[in-house]
Amino acid sequence: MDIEKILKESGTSQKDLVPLLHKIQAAYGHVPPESIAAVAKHLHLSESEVFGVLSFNRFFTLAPKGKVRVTVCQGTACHVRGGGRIVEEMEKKLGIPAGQTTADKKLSLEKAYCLGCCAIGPVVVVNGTHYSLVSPQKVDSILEKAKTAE
Amino acid sequence: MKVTIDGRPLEVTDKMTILDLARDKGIYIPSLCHYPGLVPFTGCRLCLIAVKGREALAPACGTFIEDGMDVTTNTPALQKTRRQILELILSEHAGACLACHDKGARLDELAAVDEAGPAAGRSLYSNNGDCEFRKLIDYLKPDKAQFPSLDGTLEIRKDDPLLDRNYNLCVLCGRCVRICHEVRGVSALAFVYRGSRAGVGTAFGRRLLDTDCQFCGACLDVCPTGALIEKSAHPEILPDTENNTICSFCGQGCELTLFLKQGKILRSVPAKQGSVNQGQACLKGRFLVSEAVYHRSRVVRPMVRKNGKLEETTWDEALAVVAQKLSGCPARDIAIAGSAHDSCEDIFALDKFGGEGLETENIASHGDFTAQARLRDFARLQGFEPRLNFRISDIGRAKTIVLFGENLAVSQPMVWLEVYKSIRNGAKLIIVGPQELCIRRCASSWIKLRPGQESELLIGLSKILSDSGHAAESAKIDGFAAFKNRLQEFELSGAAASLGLQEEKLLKLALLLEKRKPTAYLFGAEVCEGSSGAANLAALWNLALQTEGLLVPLSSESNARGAFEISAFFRKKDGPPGRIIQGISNGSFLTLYVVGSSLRLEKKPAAFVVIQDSYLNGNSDFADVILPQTTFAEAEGTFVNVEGRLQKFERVIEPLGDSRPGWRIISHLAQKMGMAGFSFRSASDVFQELTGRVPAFHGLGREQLTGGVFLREPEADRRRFAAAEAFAGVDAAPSIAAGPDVYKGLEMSRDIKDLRLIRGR
Ligand code: SF4
Ligand code: SF4
Ligand code: FES
Ligand code: FES
Repeated sequence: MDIEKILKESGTSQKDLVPLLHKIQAAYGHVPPESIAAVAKHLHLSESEVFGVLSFNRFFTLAPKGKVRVTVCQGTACHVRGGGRIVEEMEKKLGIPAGQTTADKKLSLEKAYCLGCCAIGPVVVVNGTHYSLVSPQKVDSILEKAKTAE
Repeated sequence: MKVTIDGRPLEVTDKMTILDLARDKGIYIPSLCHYPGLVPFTGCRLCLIAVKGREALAPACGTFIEDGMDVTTNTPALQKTRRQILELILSEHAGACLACHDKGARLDELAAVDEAGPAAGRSLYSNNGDCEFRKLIDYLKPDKAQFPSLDGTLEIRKDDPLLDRNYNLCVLCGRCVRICHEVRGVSALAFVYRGSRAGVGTAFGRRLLDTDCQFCGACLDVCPTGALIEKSAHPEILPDTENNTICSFCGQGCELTLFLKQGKILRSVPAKQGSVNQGQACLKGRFLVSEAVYHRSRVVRPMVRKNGKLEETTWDEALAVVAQKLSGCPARDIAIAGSAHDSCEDIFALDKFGGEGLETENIASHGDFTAQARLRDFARLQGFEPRLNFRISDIGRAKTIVLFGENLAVSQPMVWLEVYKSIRNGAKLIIVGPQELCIRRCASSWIKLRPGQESELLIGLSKILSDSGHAAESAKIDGFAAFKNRLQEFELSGAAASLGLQEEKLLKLALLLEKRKPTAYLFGAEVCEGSSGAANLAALWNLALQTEGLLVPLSSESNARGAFEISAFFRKKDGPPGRIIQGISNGSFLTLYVVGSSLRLEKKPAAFVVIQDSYLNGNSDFADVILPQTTFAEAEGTFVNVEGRLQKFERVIEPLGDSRPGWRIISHLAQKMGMAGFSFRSASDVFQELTGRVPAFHGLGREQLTGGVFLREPEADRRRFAAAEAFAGVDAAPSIAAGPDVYKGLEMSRDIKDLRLIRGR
């Protein structure tokens, strides 16, 4: 879908910004940096304002993401139960810091802040599949399965 | 409402915040993110106070007074809370700020820290040597940075002209973001990222030059820390004096505060209480004053051409040469091109010299060709007097604002701030013109037209309105029947087609004007020029009558209105000034006296050419004599701004070299030629004669001028619909090629790498 078409379907005021960015991200998998100018113009905003909202909201990303998205919860409950160590382990194994995508562009590692299922934390989600009570020892097998995830 | 603050009973009538009330009563509450005039942000929490009966502490800056409130602003517990908050802020702030708070820390020590600074990624002074944040540290006295410090890791952004940004010192108060958005309408800066990465920045961390930034400096002036630094500021070079003046770079007449050190201008900032600008200015007033005054092309000695070369000489010799030439030349062969950037005193002396001393009728200046001058000419031919005075704040009353062509943010910055304010309050802006402007973002629509098509659009709108059921009100105005009759011949569909607009769009626009009254129409000289000028003015006049419209003619020279009122007084016949300008470019005069450089000379325009100016430029090549004139900073006088507001300014520095104020040059010249009536000893002498003679200035005393008084003009214009025909064919105003005019700021900004980009967009 091209940007112009998405813009046409969107309203033109400031309150339409977040929904519009969601639509763009849904269509492209990320918000292409070149689209910012068009979005700003369409909503009568400045590019800085659009960028401000985009960079504040963790959901949006300017770089294309891998097909496999591994999300490690760092919310309070998961954090207390060692979520931090899970991320570190993942970072080590994948060789990328959280927030980035592997060199082969296949897998992105992300942090989340509470996924709403604190009772079973630490939680890891791979493309919608939840893993509960994750320990550092389980990281290898999760990543193994992740490679074949759709 | 009755409130108690720290046990003091107080009476309040207006809706105001606790902080404003406390300030008003001299009660100190610390604050950081608060800035007068901006929407309360309540972000920093340093202004927390206790309200009796409320469990949570409340931010004083965002809590409005309610009847019966009992407020405590200063207890050990409150101070402790505030101190903790400050310590949190300090954790993201350069730890050395703690050293800086020590009043004993001398400037040279700070500079030493600053020397070492770049390595550590910081530069430690606030740009005005007057760091608000340091004062808070002094007041709350945190002992140490309680939290691990994250500072010093960000690169200082030095890739923009005029200002650097060191976000290691940023406290995220958001003042810059908010002033840029709320007041300037630019939003070049925004909050970016979140959590510990949160900061202030631009899209993709671009430099400001690559945003819509207008380099107005407003962000610099509100930053309470040293995060935003004026490039030319240095911690060791602090001003010893400050003086206010009126900026002469454009027609707004902003009041500026000039900071001096040993009699030289260091920098300029908008005066906080300036009646026109209220603490705002633009690129030119904020950053370019000292550049203009000390510009390398300033001419500071009289010069006479000898054997083909301009050579410096004495005033005596230069004036003698001019006097001799002028005495030997018949009046009708002499022309004088005045400057609408000069003070009223300079212009009065020049026009008196030309009109009464030399008795020539060939005097013209840019002031004769502004939208204001055209509007008056037009109205007079219809038999009525238009009002030219307005207050910029009047524009704020309009619910719909129609703007013709001008890039207001650049050409009329203070008018723009008012327009933007109205937009924020719900007014609609419609831009009409050929080019897409940067302020388009704030407009609700842009009607793209070719120049000259304005009247077609306006008459079309008039027709729709007069045919609609809404015509009742305007039908009572004189001349409506005839006007409506004329509109019968106008073909709406044809006009829409030639404008390239849907008829639908015209209807919608007309409805908007009708629904959202009162309206305001802002237009500059271009709309009034050339063959379509008369029709445009007539159409504007009529549409304004139909829509309770305020006509706002805009001019861009610092004293365009003054120049035009004064020269109208001295002009014996209603001699068309256009003919004179034409004559000058055709070389029809033997002797030419040019003041300033708003006229561009392409070839030698007369056998003998005198130039009275502050700068050497392309025009100087054709001069036989150059008489060096002071700039506004070196003289005293008065200007009339675009509103018709007469404001005085005082001399701030000594004249550079041998330069002299314009009125003095003319007086000496006149005396040399044996003319009577030029024994002026001061600008006030000239002003006194001026106010005694020129009707618009009658009875205005210099002592009244603080804050400005308005020129005199007829009570109210007779409201009547106008016909375009009466004006057509009358000396169509020439469009004058822009001269090498330093004051317009264009030449100067070209000196600064890339800065011209801003002026154009
Ligand atoms: S200089 Fe003016 S326009 Fe530029 S960022 Fe600062 S406030 Fe905004
Ligand atoms: S740069 Fe200055 S004005 Fe802007 S948020 Fe930081 S401290 Fe406040
Ligand atoms: S904290 Fe991880 S799911 Fe709530
Ligand atoms: S000054 Fe009140 S919260 Fe910042």
